[in-house]
Amino acid sequence: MNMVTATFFAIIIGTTLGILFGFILCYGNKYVKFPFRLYVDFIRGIPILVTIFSIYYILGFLLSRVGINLTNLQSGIIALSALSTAQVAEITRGALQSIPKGQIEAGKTIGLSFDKIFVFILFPQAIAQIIPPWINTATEMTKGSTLLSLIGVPELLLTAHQLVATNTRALLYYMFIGLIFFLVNTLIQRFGKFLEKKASF
Amino acid sequence: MTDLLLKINNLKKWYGTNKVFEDVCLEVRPKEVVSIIGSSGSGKTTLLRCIILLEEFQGGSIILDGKEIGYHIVNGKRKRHSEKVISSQRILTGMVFQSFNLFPHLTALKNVVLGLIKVKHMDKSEAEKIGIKLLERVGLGEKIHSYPSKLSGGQQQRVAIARAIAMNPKIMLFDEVTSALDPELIGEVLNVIKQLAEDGTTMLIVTHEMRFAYEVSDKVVFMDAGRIADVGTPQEIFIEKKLPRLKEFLSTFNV
Repeated sequence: MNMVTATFFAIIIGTTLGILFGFILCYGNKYVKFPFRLYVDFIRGIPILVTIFSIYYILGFLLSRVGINLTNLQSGIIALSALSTAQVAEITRGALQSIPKGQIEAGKTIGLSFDKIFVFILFPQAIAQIIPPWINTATEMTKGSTLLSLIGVPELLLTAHQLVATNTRALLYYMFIGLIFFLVNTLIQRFGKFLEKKASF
Repeated sequence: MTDLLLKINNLKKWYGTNKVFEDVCLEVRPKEVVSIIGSSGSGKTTLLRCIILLEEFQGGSIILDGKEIGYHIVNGKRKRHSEKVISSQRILTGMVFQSFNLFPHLTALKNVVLGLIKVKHMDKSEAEKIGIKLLERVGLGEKIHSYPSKLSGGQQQRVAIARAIAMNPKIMLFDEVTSALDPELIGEVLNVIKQLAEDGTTMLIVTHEMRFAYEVSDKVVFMDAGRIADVGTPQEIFIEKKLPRLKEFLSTFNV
């Protein structure tokens, strides 16, 4: 269940913040962009394991100084969300930038303000391009959630390890775990395909 | 003076240190059709883009329907209006682009009604009634629910024309609207523009279709190297062609 919780929140938070970050990366001026660019490149540039440990030890320590104690699962969710935010930001920026400039100009000539151009013209076109790589990110999150065992979140793989330790049917347990991941990711992909169809034109 | 719909005074446009045009003056009366011809790089397209405020310009003024657009004077300094004011001034003008620029995620009808609903705040059924009528007028009554990707270039451009006239602009700007079309599709688009001209639409047309310009225009403007080199009736520009530079330019076309 922890795996599902962690993945679910990582996807929701990552999608929301990622789209916002991607918007800023595409349309912000260079001073506004800079910290976001730095964040995205940094998080994408380091292994997810390092992010998980950094959040767990460094952020966990800092927050405990001000009286906030993160549970292991919360640290894990923050780490996965940090990565999915960066991924979705980059995906969104790319999608928005690939829309021809003529689209904005055509919107302007019929009197639309920039926010309306974004909502009715740019975003609907971008979303069609965002969805396929977004599914990738989502499935990466389910797989990334297994690493949370390393900071003591009792997720599937850790549970399997423990079962294997008291049992001899190692292959069977691992195959079962594999099957669960496969099912969850298939579900995500199906859902993504459904969204893709809805967003296509 | 009041019978002028558009008056451009000494318009000046620079890109950095690069001069696009200077001292451009132009007058358009209501229901007049004015064509702008000239070799590429002479500033024709940029002039249209200035009129619909997609470009900033560094000097001169544009008076549309008796009101200066784009800039105003604040404390003795020339300042561009806020985007909000610019948007409201833009809809006085309609523009059709060389590359259509239809919204690919919307059907032909939705392309046409978007501005009516989101800018003019019309309700949907009323807007769609207008949209359908306009699409019928450009000969696309059968295609109202088609997406742009399912339409030919000529059909897409006609949707773009319908989208622009839906906003009921005072003046229509056509920017080389047939340049991206296959030769066999040019006629259908030009016919729509001709029809609009006959219905009394005021238009400013940048074109390389000399025969069309000759037939449809009340006035023809020849731009050369960033200034207006000659203005006259189609007869004066295409038949008499007194200016040597104009003669040279026209000799590259079969007119």
